[in-house]
Amino acid sequence: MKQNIFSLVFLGTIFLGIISTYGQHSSQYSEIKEEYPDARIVRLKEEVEIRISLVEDSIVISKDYFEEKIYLDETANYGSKESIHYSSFFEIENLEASSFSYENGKYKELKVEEFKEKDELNKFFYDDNRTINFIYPNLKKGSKTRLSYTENIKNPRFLGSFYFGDFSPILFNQVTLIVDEEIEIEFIKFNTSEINLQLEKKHKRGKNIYIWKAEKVDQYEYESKVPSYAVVLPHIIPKIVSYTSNGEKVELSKDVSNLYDWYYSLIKDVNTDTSDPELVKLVEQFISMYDTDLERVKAMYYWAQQNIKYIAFEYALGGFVPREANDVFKKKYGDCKDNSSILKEMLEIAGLKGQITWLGTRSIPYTYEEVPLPIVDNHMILSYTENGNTYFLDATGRYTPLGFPTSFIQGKEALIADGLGTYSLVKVPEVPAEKNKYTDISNLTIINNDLVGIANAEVTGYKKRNFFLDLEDVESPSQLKEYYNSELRKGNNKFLIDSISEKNKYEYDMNFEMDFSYTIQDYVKKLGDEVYVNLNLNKPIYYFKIDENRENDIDFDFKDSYSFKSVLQIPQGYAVDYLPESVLISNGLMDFEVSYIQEKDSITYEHKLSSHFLKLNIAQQQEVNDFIKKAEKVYNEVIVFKEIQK
Amino acid sequence: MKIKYSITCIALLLMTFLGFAQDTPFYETYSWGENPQYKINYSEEEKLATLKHKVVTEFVFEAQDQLVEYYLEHKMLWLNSDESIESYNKVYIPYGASSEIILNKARVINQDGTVLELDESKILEAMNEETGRKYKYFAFEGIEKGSVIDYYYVTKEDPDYKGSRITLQKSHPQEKVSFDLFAPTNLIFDFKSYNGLPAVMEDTLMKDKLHWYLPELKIKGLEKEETAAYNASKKFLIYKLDKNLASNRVDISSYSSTVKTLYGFYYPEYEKKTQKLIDGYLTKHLKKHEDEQQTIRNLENYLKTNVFNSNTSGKELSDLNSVLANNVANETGLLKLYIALLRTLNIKHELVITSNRQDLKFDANFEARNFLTEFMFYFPKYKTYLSPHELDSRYGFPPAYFTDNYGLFIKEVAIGEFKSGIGKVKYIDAIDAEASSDKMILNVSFDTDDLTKCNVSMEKSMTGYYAMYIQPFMFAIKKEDRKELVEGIVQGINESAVMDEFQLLNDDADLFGVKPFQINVDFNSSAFIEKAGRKYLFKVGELIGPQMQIYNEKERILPVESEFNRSYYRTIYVDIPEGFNVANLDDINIKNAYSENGLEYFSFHSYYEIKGNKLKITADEFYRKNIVRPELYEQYRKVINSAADFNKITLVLQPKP
Repeated sequence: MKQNIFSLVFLGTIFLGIISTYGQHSSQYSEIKEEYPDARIVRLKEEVEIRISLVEDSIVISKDYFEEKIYLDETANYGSKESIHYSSFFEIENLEASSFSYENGKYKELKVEEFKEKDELNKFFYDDNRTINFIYPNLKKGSKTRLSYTENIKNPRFLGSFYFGDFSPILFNQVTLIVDEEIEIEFIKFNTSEINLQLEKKHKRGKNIYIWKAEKVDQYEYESKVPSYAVVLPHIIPKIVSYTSNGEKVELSKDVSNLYDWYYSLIKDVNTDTSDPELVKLVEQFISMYDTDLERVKAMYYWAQQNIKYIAFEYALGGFVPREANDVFKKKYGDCKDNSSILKEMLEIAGLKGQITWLGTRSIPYTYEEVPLPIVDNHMILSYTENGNTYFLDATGRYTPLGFPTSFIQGKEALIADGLGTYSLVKVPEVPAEKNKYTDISNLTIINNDLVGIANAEVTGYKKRNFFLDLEDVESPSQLKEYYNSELRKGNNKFLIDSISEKNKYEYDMNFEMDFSYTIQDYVKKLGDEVYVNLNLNKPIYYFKIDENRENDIDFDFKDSYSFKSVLQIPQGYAVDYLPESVLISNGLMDFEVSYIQEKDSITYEHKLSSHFLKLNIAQQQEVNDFIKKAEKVYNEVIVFKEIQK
Repeated sequence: MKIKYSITCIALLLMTFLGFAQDTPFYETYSWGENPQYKINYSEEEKLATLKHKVVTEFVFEAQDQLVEYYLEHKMLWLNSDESIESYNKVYIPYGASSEIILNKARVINQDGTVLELDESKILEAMNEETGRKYKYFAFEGIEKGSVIDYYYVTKEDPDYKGSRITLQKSHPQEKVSFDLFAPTNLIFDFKSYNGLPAVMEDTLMKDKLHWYLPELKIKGLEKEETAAYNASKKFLIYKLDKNLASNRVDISSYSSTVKTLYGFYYPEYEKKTQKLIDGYLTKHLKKHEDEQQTIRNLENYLKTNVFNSNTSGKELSDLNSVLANNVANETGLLKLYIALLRTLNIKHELVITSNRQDLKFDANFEARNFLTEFMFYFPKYKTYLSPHELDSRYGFPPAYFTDNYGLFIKEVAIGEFKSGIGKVKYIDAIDAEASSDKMILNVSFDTDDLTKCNVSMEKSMTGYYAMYIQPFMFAIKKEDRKELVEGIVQGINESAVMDEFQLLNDDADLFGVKPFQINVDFNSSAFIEKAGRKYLFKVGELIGPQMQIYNEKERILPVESEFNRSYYRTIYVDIPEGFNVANLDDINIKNAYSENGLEYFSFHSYYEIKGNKLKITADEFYRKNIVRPELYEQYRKVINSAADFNKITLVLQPKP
């Protein structure tokens, strides 16, 4: 009986507790919290209004932005700081921000008073990106914030994209475009099939009005290794196709040719000066050193990779116009455009044709035909074509051999310039797995309980490049050994390299080789008259394991392959008692092979693994995980030796 | 420099200096030489070397007896690798509201002797209104492998004379490293050199000003080592103003004046309006518990989730009234808020200021402001600390790098009505190993149909620093993320483990420091068992997850500096499958420990008991000393590696005869 009273009292307290808790929050909060119990923030309203008009033959664009958010849990305070980005292409005006905290039954507004500007130094060395920073006061569970500003867009090619989904739910999202009827506009939609996106079109007083609206869009999951959120989130990209001025139709972004014409106008006057005599001398050296054009191109390409350091200046149109080759040569630094510029000039001095090439790295999911606007790309390289083979020369960075595109442009479309009005669109190839290979051949002996090996390892392609970039950071011999002890690890962390020598370190064209000897202490298990060894010293398949709950596609840097071969001496006085079976499995995405062959005094073990994808969708991820489950069993197989009875 | 917010803005105690005539400042006559002189004494293998590093700081009385500080730094570096070029080809020189850059020159000297001087127009500027900082920055032009970069700049600043640190060691070799300090003849400076840097000398020949210096030195690079206080171990010196002969003031930079200033600033009599706001804040947001420690925990949890620390400058952010109204503060404002609430709640505390021992060890024998960078509260009744600024630290577990270090404790004392602050330098003891534990209890059974599969049910409980980064933040971890958190722990043991049910206990911020944070989870995996003919190899050691292995490839130079003392307790119960026994139980026994004066500092001990088919394995491990001298490194390594050895234990399950 007593107990009952107690529990009643207890229940009562909880009940009261609940009531008073709800009393602290608005009914709006309670409703939204009930609908989205796991959200931290819900975007109540996001409204954009863009006015595009023709003023004295040029297009004037201004954009009003408004958002209202509600904060649903105790993490509200963590999001107090907000930054608005702008640059010379996008000016910000009329910025206003407020937070609203719910007190005594109503929301009380607190206006943000202080806005602080800041040059953003972390992205490029010098650019015109700035931020306006401020703090929402008193943000807590149940608070709301409101933000509004006007943005003047200075170039009609930079209208931007408009997202209808986010990492928090959005209740109401509307983008309105009010466009002078002289201006023709089109919209390109991405990932909008899952949401209910509606378009309403009106005509009013010489203006076309387009209203895009989406309501109750659920939150999207944030995950790593997603190529970019443009691949996942629903958005639209408006493009100004053309406008009529003085009765004449002017095409602006109708198709790729319009974009190309604009790009071409930005590069056509670059490198018109006489070449720096020192640069000419350098190129002449390469000409005299090598006999074929391709060898010369290669020499110049490698020179640029090694000598032009990456420092980017991205001020206004400087983000689009390459700097003069002579200038780049003198400074010995530049960004991707500057590298393309100097390489083009060097090729020209050598009497060869290099072509300026634009492309979007793999983080941009659009093709030029879909989106003939500057947001389609973010990179510039130089193309060189000989006997029908196009070489993509990306001199930003080091250790990229001729014939390899950089890994982040594999499979992308390249826009290759060929003079006024002429261009081509070419697909950059994907490098096959066999070219990015780690090969390791070990001779193994069992000494007491230790496994002792002498090995040769060879690395190629992007894998080699990764090794070199890591090795550049090594500061001392002891650090170098530490690096190899972890990078070349076999068996477990008792793996220890005794000695190592490197061959072709930092070479562009030759395979990088490492000859090393090692010991894995106590790796071998002996019991009675038996000896057990697991020869699966490397288990690379685990690199490909993907979280089962993943919701998005996953991106890999390159297609990958491994080959391990170990020849183990059968210990003296012992015979093979059990040899695991050889296994070969393949599913189109991956190949996996483990084999054991017994010879007179030794066992030859081989393990090969390759992956043939750069990206996996959800179904493929499942296939890969299932594949790993099958394959990993093979890793648990042990060789048994038995002492020979005399 | 965090201290700048809190101290420079309140350093109203500017001494009256009497102007003493002084010649032109040093920098005005300094030249980098039209033809740069240097010799490269390094092999081609070397990637980077400093050929010259000259630091000259000078205190000068200017118009109206205004004391200013000119700071000149001249560097010449030989860049002999791509990554050296990439790390040094850009230079950023910060300055702010109270300083200006009055000279800035840069040039590149190539191997063929060509000198490329940077045009002044290439020096760029950037500003940050949030911090009040500005930058001049530039990129060297024309650097090739083997080039020398040569640059120097002079800044003019409000004098910073109460303790400044000049670090003169790098990871690469340096030569011609020198330091000079010039001062008017009435200002006597004091110096201290650390980590083997020679002592600063006085130049007795100089007449019209005072001059102290370090002659040109060769300084070897200090190699980085794992778990070491690397920055604190570099050679550096500290200078501070000690006496003003003109006003007969001595001990100018001593802590007694700092304590007075800080106490006055942080412990004022509140205006009525402010006190009302404080009272209101307490009534609204905080409940007073019977247990005072619980009140402190609640207060901290509330402030750390509800007050935004903007880490920027700004008057409002350090104004107590505005902080109370807006819940937005900077570090100064936060400190004021904590103090106001603790005082109003009558909770006895001391204000502690210390350094981060990884960066700088607090020197109990040399009083200088640059040691005073990190604030904490000390509660003498409970001998506990609280860090107001570190968001992920909680009561009783201050940032561990602030402990095991000296600190300045400021205590409020009252004589009658008169209250004042008294400062004392004391040691901040590290938190005991027993208070930060990671405990695992595992029950393992084998699948009867497939002996290569084992089922594990694990109870993992964490306390102290091990729980601190999770338990106080569980409120923010949503359902799916909780699953991911546990999955991460399970897959940390073995990547192919498949998780089943799980349960989280004591997942409440207010329980941190009171009850352990506990995860109960079931998982299964085939990764722990290898088949060897008719026998099974059970890798029982892998159940405790990967353990660090330290090699002794190179002689240890620097002391080991762990973050915190810690202990691990693991108990594994194994149901040996029917018809099998374990052939090599003795492999489980491992014992390695190190004691000094009867106290065990580090220890690993694993052993077993067996009853029928029930095997119980215990593996306990602790580290009761954060800072380990290099001479003890081998002992320490042995204990660390014992855990790695345990991790490799494989039991052979053989069919019973």
